[in-house]
Amino acid sequence: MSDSNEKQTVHDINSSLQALQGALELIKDEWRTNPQLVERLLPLTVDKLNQLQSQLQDFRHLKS
Amino acid sequence: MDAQKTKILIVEDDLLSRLSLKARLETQGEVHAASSRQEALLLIEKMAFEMAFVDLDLEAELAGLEIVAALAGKKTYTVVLSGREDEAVIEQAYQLGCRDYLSKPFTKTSIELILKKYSTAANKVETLKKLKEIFLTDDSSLVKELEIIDQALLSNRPILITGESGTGKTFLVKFIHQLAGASTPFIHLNCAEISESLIESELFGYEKGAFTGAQKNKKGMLELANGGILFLDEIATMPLSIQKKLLKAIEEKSFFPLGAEKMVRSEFRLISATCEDLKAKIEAGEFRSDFFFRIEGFNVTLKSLRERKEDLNRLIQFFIKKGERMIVFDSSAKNLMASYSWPGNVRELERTIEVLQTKERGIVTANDLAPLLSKCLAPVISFDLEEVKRIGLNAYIEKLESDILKLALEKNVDKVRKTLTDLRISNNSYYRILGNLKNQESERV
Repeated sequence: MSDSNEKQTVHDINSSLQALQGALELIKDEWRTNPQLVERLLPLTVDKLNQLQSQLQDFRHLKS
Repeated sequence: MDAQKTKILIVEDDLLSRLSLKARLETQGEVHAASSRQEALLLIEKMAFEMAFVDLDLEAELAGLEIVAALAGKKTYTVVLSGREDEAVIEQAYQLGCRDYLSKPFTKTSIELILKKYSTAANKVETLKKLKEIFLTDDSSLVKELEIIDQALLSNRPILITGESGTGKTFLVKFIHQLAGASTPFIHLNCAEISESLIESELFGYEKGAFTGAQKNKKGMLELANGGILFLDEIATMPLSIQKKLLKAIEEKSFFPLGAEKMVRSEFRLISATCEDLKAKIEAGEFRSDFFFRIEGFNVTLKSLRERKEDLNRLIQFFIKKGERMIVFDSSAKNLMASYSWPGNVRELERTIEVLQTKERGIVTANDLAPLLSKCLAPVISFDLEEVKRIGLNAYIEKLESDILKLALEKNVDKVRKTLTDLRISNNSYYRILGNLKNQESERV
């Protein structure tokens, strides 16, 4: 596995985790007061979760 | 942070991250978001941003660095966000002018801390100006120490202030309390002014019936300080047994009042002050090292007045104006003031001027001043060489020690702990000198 591939994958996983972390914290804080925002965030959060799953698989393949 | 005025830029290519961060920051100011380098550069050209959050990797790798450089030119407080763990990139971002670097994934607490830092940085000039004003100083090393207070306001870590008596330690702590939130509790305990047997119940509180005389429940200072500041003055005199118990309470943020079965939780900021060298006390076995490491965090040392003589004239003028009567010093008085060591520091200077303002003469000479200063210098005893020859050096030194102890006990109205602190002596030394004093007095009888 090349070093640059691994660095890129780690970067992508960290970015996805960040997007999920930020979104979930916001959903937790705002679901009562700002349901419109939460409705907008939820599908994007699901997409991001799927993206993370695929990134984690890539990482596993890179490592094996 | 002023929600009306602060313009914040977010540069982030990931839609979910951009939306979340924008929603999070909208309570803090006017937020503009860009998803690409070009979009960001256009916004930067069009308007001035006070603050920016920039993702490093946009449509191209490290494209965010160009944005960081553009914002640095506009003096924007720029925070870099990145999932990269490469130290060289972090270094490059700082060199280009970013103020903070958040590694993804980060929590909302990190964002809140950054906002607090920004707010403090924006107010920093104001805070430091105020500190310089209240300390009446331009002394660069003292100003550097005062800058630590700016940093300290960003966190809840303990503060340890060291300085001789009269240098303004309590004054500084009260100022910190004002800045940190004057409506929060401020609990002040001078450890030297309270007996060892009382200090535990004062700090931890007690339940009715915990000991003889405990007729009702009493909250301790630790509990009363919850949400605010606990200021332990003269911390060096804290008994070792209490240090151990307090250490546990600070670490666990909870404790049992005396005689209580239910634990009490309390979170407070601990500020300690001392005029003693705590590290020397640790070496002498008179202070616990684990307790020391728990009470230090932001360490501030306040200089003595004799180490900041350039501030003397300014301080004199300030205290004269503070009083009701104007007085002037002739050259002999000025010379005496400049050469005097001011062992009582700024407090002594203030008291001296207060007394001079009550005297008949408006022009103060060295003759008017000297009796006041020599009174302060009372512990400095002149040597009588003939007497040394007569009784021998060891006996003479014993006599000097006894005289000093007697003087200090008189001054402190027989408060032993305060006397130990003032003279910086151990319990053993105290009882040894006291024994000599009693022998000398019985010999005289």
